[in-house]
Amino acid sequence: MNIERFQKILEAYGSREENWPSSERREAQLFVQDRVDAQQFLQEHLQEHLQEHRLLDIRLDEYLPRQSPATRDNVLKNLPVSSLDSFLNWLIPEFRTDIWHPLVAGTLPLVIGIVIGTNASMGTLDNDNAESADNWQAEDVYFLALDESQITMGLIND
Amino acid sequence: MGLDEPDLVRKSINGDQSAYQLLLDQHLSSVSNFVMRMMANTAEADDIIQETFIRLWTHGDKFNPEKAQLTTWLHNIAHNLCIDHFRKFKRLVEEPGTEKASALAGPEDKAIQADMTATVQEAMMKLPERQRSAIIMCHYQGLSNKDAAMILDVSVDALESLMARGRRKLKQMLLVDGQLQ
Repeated sequence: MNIERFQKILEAYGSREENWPSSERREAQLFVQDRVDAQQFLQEHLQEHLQEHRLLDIRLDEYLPRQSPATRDNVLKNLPVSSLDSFLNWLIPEFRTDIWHPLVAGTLPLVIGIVIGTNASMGTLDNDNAESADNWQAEDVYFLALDESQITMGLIND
Repeated sequence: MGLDEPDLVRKSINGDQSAYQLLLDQHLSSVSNFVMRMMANTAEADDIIQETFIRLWTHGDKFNPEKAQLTTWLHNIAHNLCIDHFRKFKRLVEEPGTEKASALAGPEDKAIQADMTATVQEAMMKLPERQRSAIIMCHYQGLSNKDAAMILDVSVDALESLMARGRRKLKQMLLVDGQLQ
């Protein structure tokens, strides 16, 4: 810390120590307290300057921001929601999105299970149908074969 | 509670409104003060504040806690929205204070305070936008010089130069012979 740097801090950040850069604050405080040359410089050149910055800081504090109590509610009211959320809100007013998310996550395995189960059973039915058609044909051939064997046996007996 | 801000932001991205409301309650006042001072307390400030927090809801995934604190990220969004607004409606910014006078009419002390606020506000609005931003961020908002420099996309040296020039102009406008006006 030197006089030039201290002056630069004062001009940029003002007279309040809490506004000075945190990395240099302690050093700047010690500089003002301990350094004789700084004290002399302050006395000779900076005192008026420092006073001006103090007054300016006080003046700046007069700039109060307008308070708008409705802002919080307006932000929450205007949050964009997904189409599913808005549908659920329409369906069940006051439906909370933080409830349906785990609910959907919980029912998802059930839905997937039903879909897989339905598809699997449809496949099995198709197979069964195919097999029963094959069996029918086999049985038909078998009976025909029996008839032929009975004829053959009759011929033998004759 | 036991949840830090990055956790709350993650929950908020996933649609958790209670996490979002906690973040809103933590940052609304600070961001609101920043925007109000940047925008000279005009009605447009409300829209910018709302838009800033809607971005937190819709674009929270862009927040990187390793790069910046949430307050810095929100100030950055708010600052960019203010600058966009100034560029779009330049004339409105050059005529500050009209709405203010009617909004704060009331008891005598309120009127005096409004008058004091209006004087400083008028001086602030005469500053170039970057000087005003730098002073508001460091003097009023308590942002560190590094965070303010990051938001303005300048070096810390350049930030200090902006603040020094801004304060010099404010002194000329607000102080007469080193005294309060």
